[in-house]
Amino acid sequence: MIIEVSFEELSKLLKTKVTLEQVIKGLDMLGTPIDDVDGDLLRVEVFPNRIDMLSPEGLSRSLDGFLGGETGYPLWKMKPSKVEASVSSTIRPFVSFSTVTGASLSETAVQNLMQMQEKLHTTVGRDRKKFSIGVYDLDLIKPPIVFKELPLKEIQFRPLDENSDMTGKEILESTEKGKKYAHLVGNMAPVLMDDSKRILSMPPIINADFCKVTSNTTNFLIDSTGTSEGTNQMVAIVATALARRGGSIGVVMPGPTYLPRRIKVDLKYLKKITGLEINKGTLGRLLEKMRLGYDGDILVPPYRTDIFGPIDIAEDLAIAYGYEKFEGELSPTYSTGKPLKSNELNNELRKLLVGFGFLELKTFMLTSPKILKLSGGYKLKVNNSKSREYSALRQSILPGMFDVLAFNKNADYPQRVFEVGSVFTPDEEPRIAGMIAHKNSSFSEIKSVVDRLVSTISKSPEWVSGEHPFFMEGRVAVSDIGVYGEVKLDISEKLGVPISAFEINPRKLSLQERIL
Amino acid sequence: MHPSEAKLMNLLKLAKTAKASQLVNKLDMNVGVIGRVAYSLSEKGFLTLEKTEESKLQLTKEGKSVKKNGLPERLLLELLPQPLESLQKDRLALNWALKRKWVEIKGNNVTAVLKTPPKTREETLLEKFKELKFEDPELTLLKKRKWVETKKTIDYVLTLTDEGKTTSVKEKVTQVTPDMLMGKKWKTLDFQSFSPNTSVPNFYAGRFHPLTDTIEKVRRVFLDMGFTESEGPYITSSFWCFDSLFVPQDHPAREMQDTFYLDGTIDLPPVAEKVASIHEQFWGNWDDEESKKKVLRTHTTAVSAKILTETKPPAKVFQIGRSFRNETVDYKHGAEFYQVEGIVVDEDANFNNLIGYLKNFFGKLGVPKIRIRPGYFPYTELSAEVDVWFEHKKSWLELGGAGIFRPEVVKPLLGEDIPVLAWGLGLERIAMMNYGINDFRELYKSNLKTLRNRRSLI
Repeated sequence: MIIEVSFEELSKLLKTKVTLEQVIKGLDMLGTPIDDVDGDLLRVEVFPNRIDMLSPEGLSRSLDGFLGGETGYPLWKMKPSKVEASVSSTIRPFVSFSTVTGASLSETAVQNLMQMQEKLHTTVGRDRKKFSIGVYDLDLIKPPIVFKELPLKEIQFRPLDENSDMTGKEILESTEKGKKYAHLVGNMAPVLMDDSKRILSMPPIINADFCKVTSNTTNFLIDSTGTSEGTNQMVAIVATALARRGGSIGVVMPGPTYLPRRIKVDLKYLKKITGLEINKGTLGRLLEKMRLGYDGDILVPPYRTDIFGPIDIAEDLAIAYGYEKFEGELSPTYSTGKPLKSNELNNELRKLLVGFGFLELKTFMLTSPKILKLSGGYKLKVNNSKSREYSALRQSILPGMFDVLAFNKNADYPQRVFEVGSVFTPDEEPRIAGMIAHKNSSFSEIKSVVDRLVSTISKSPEWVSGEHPFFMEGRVAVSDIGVYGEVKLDISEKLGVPISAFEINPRKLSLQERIL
Repeated sequence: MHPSEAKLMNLLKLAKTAKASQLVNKLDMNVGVIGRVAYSLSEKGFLTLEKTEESKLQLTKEGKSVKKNGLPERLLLELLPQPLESLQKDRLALNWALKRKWVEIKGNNVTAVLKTPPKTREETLLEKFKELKFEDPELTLLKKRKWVETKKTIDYVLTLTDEGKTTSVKEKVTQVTPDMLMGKKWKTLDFQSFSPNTSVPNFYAGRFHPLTDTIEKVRRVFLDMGFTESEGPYITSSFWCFDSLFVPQDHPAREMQDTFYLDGTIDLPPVAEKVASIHEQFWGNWDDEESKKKVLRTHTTAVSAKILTETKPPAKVFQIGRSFRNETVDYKHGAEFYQVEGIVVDEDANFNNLIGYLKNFFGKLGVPKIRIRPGYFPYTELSAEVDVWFEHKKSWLELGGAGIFRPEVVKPLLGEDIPVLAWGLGLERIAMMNYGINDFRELYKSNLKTLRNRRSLI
């Protein structure tokens, strides 16, 4: 996902002075690459493993470590919180809170906070189903707070950016967010209330307007509710970002405790998997560049959602060392190359047909039912294609090839084309098909080609007269390997030129094996 | 003398003077070609050439149709009476009929005033069209309705000069025939000479598709590096495509807008039990039905996952095959595209080896300068992106992904956690770089002219 961050804003948050070039290279080599630079605006791609970097605060925290401005386990002020919470919800059983006091946010910082919240919602939050996050002006709220469920009709408050009070039902029916997320609640909806019974929010739909965060807000309440474990991490990501704006974090229960997670990792394992020759001193120094702590154990901050075990530490180690500094060395295990027989056969057929003067085509296996109508429809369709052009799987290469010839009416004749590919009958099967179009194209011409092609590579099968949807009656030969003949005139009349064609299954050829 | 010149001279020797149009049948050439041949003879001083232009009146397609079927406004009368709105198509005819006061509109109804109106000037003119003269002022009546046009015909009057009358015309041989080679007959003949500047019909070779050339190049690199080629089915289960690769069952990539789903299910392999327990451990949920869903593979890694269950380390395996994404097709995305993927399964392999393979692989492919930076894939840790340097754009462009498969992927599939290095890239990107193509769709357009004329790369 892409976030937009002002370079100036980012520079202010960094502990050392850096140039734009250093930031671009730093972010690229940290694994959050720059997508685009537009004047002061950086568009940064953040992958789902580093959702702690969805804000300039988070980006600056990592960049400080990586560029050397401030390394080691990040420190933030902690202050006991007076907020108490009681919680009971079956719709969103996982709930976490924290407070941050004494932070100051510019207009841009408020925008960035909202951007982070929205990105968390749409990605790891699975569009608010799994997690949603709320941030409130703590000074406008009277704790203790209660998280519980109420019937929709008993819910009444003025939602964010609305002009008047609305009931829960009205919110779901007439606000944009309400309509979008109504499916996540039922006749009962979870609400967060303060001691004067005012509703602060109806998660995961919308917050109340009266306690919204502005650039005047200095004390914050943060909540995350959800249907899965992980709300603690969501709250910690937001709270530690606000802490970088000078705030002190207050622990509220239920909620994160902000104690580091300890992971034990064997140095030998890290050396083996990265290939780096390092000692404990270097290990500590490198991990501290990634804002991890090291005291023999590895200390992981609460906002890192991507570190499960030793392999994840190994990646941070390699990033800290610098991917570009790895020399690279091939593994010593000896082996010899071995091609697939089926591809060797396909290549042999290709070479023969090219020798016969055929031009190779590559077309899509996914095609439109309209094109496949010629072959009596399709045997296999995809259920959800964005485009009808790609909504069915071909059961023969020939219909697409007719289309190619129709598209190439202005190209010089004779036209000789072929394709090696797969079809779905509905089983996946390999096919090789060819077509000749010019004013003297005939049954005997295509027979010469197929006879030569097949007899060069295989025992010839027995061809008999038959019937086929693409071919003229009395001018078609069929066998267990495929079909060839003169194309039906209601097809070739569209091109205004006689066409002959073949399609065979190379897997059915009886091949002559090499001895050596 | 060129054979066509000789033929023309022989004809003129009989007639002395002739119009090119009179010679068309005898020479089997059109007037334009005769003009060119005559011009070449006039340069040599054998004849004089006079270009004539003649304008002729003729009926247009519509004019012919009116002459045959009758005046539109007269035909309209047969349809009446009619409500006005049903005559939208015949608006033009209606306007003419109104102008001639043949019909009237009452309320919303159009009715005929005259059943069989007298013959109009237009009709008379069309009947005697052949006798009409250019300057006939009445012609404007027909011109206004775009029923007549003037056509210019060009012709040449050819007259032999005195020199042309006396010169001897000897036809030179163009095509040597077996007959000429018998009994030294060729010794008595004159042969036409040809210039290398002569235009000749195009000759086309049978050729491989540029993607085939690219595939063969990549195959050779892998085979040289000691890799075994492999392949797998296009239709697979969500299990192989996602679950076995540590992609949570609620991951956005699995949604309908990214993945093509097919009707039916595919039974889970025995290893699914182990994979399910990993999912439950990490995300607390697992649904067999979700895992059985039939999909068009979204990446060749689905095949690599299956290969792991059949592999005895150490192993080096590669595949080049198509994958499918439910994308809106544009200049850089296709719904169907080729992926290239290599894996190294080796107890002793490490990240530095992966970098080594990447440098070796892209170096052998001929990519001049690459950069490896951190990346992210759900199924790899460590993960890397490979960028290629574009000198003319002075920027890095993403070319492929790489990494070491996560222990959570390897352990259930292989039975033990040993390093599996992997990397992949889009084949079309390589072909586009090689052939200087900027649009993905260009590769699958099947434009015969482009395919026939493309320059081979060595």
